[in-house]
Amino acid sequence: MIVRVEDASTLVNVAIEGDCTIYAAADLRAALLPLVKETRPVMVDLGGITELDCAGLQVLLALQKECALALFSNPAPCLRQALDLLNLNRTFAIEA
Amino acid sequence: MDLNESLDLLVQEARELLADMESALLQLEAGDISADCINAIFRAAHTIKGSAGLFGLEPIVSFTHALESVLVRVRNNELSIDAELTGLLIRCADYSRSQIDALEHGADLAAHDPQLRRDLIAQLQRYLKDDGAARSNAGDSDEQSSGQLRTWKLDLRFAPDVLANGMDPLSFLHYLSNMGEILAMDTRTGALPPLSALEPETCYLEFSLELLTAASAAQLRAVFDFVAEGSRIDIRCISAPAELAFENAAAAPMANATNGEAKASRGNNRDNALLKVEARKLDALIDTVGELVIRCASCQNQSEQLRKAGLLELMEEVGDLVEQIRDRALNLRMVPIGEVFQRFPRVVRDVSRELNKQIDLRISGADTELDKTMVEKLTDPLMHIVRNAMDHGIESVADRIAAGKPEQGVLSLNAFHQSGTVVIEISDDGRGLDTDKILRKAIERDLIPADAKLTEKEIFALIFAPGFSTADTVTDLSGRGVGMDVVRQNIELLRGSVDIRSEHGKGTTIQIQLPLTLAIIDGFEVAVNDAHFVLPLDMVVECLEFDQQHFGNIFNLRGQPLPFMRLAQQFGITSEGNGRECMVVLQCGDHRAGVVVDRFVGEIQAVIKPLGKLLGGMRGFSGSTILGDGSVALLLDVPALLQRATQQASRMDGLQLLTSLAH
Repeated sequence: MIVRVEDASTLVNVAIEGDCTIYAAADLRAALLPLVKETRPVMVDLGGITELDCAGLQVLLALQKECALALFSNPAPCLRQALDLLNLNRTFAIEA
Repeated sequence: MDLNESLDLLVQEARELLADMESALLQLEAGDISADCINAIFRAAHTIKGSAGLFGLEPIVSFTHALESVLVRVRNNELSIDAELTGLLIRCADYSRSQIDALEHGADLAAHDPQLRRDLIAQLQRYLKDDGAARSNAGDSDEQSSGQLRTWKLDLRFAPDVLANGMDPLSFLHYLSNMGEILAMDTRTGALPPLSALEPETCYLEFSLELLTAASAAQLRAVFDFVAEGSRIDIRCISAPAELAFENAAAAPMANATNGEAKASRGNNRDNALLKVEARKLDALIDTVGELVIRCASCQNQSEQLRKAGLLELMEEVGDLVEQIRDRALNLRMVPIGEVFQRFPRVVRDVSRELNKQIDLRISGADTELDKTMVEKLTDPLMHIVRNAMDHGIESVADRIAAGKPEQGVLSLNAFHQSGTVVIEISDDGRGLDTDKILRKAIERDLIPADAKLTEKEIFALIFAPGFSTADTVTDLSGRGVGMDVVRQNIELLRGSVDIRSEHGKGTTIQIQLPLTLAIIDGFEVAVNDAHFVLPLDMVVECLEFDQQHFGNIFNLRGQPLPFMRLAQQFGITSEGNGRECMVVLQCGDHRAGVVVDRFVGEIQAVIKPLGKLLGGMRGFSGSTILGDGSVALLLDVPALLQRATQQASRMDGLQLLTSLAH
């Protein structure tokens, strides 16, 4: 699991790639934690996620809940599937 | 449970499902493409596949799987329903049914019409772009389905350490979604802390969902068998009125739940709706109730002789209760005739295509109830009459237009209760019976002498003669001269009668009259000398003293001629001859006649026992019964008696009749 953070003056681009499962959940949380304090919009690209479980999903949900400026986009199929299954599409808003 | 018994259940369930599927398919074909319809078809295929999977019936599983996969695509709106697809689905349902038949007869399923099977699967596969995906998706749920579809409410609060223990709630939910259809899903994220406080290996999410599935409570609970202690898993069935909660503070006791418990809970969920009972058990119950009725009659006899205070009243109360038990027991066997009628839309569809006729089938009174055994035995005769009506009765479109009729012919099936009998009418608005043609054919076949003078009714009755057919051309459907005689025989075996009304050019109505039940009747006991006879009470119109107001075989009943017969004469018994005679006026359908006996005994509840082989062929009796004092009485076959009385009376000529009335 890799989290790429790119500082682009007016906003921050974040790309999450790889397996977001319980094995990576701690790292994922650690990588995303600084973003909570971010004052600029945070664009999170979710297209690179290859595998997702509840642990990984929880981290994403927590980020979304806490960081009002985070905008999520480009969900990977596994994330899309999980959101559909859990009926979380409204809670976890994804930009078109 | 015995494997054979379970197989029987599977066969029975599959038949019901296939019937549902067929009626839904016919609705589709009629242009009523609703989600309900498609779901009904899908559910049927899915459940059959699941049940067959439990028995490892691979040929059925793989075939219904292909069918189901196409249906999944239809349901997801990836495929649109057209006439071609509907036709294919109907053929598939037929093949499934034939598989089930083969299964019932213990035939080798793999060898069952493999050519047709390959063809159908090949055709189905043309509708599947990515069959592989559908296969793996639906395949998971194979083993889980059994029984009926129910909606379950699941509340899942996993233990916080469930993730750390290597289990992922997401995969449980995914698994559940493969067991059925998730109707509602609510994921609660309220317990989720801010990221800074979040422990990555703790589960904070809670789930509530509604699942529509054929799986049982035990199967659903088994999903969570390995969830760590501390999880709260509530599973409730919410589709049945009675709610049963399965609550477990920990998963461990859940795994210990015995099979028996699971079964009991399943039973409770169902008994509000329907309970399947083996026909054999029901028959045994009715048999015992029959014996009870007989014994009760004996007790009443005895108590009347004892004249002990209180006993008579008590016996009367017991008698009332026994009567109620009898009625309820008999009611258990009553099923709506719709069970038979529901086969006909399909038959009419197929036959009208084959014959290139337009036929509108109208069914009414499908909820009319009659005895289960009769319903079963009615199917073939009715099928025959319906096919006849379509083949011979209703004309081709061209002929109908020429006759100034609407292009579409109407075939109606109607059932209703009438004075203790069930009447079933099959009418068409076709060409009607051609009396001249029937006569000509009958004379050709030496059924009647060339110079016979027959009434219209008698001519119509000729079509029931063995080997009779008026059809000029023999088709696949009818016209081969076997049939109507068998129809009549079958109906008569059920103690019923068949009547024909027809108007040339306008249509034909065939009316079948059947008794409500075969087992127990309210009877009226009469006696000639020391021989006792029982008449069905429903057919008794009145009882009167027989005086000399008669001429020949005609009695003057308040100015109306009434044919009558003496039972003593009929059966060669010596009458008591004390000069006093009594007459019972009987009515069955349109026929009415009197039967003269020595004396009336009174009303009784008669448990009908079939006549033995020796007496089985006797005309005039339809069974026997045991009386309160243990002696045997014969049950008179009223329709046959009435017919005989009417025939005897009609030998008199009109002048005699007039004289008799003038008396």
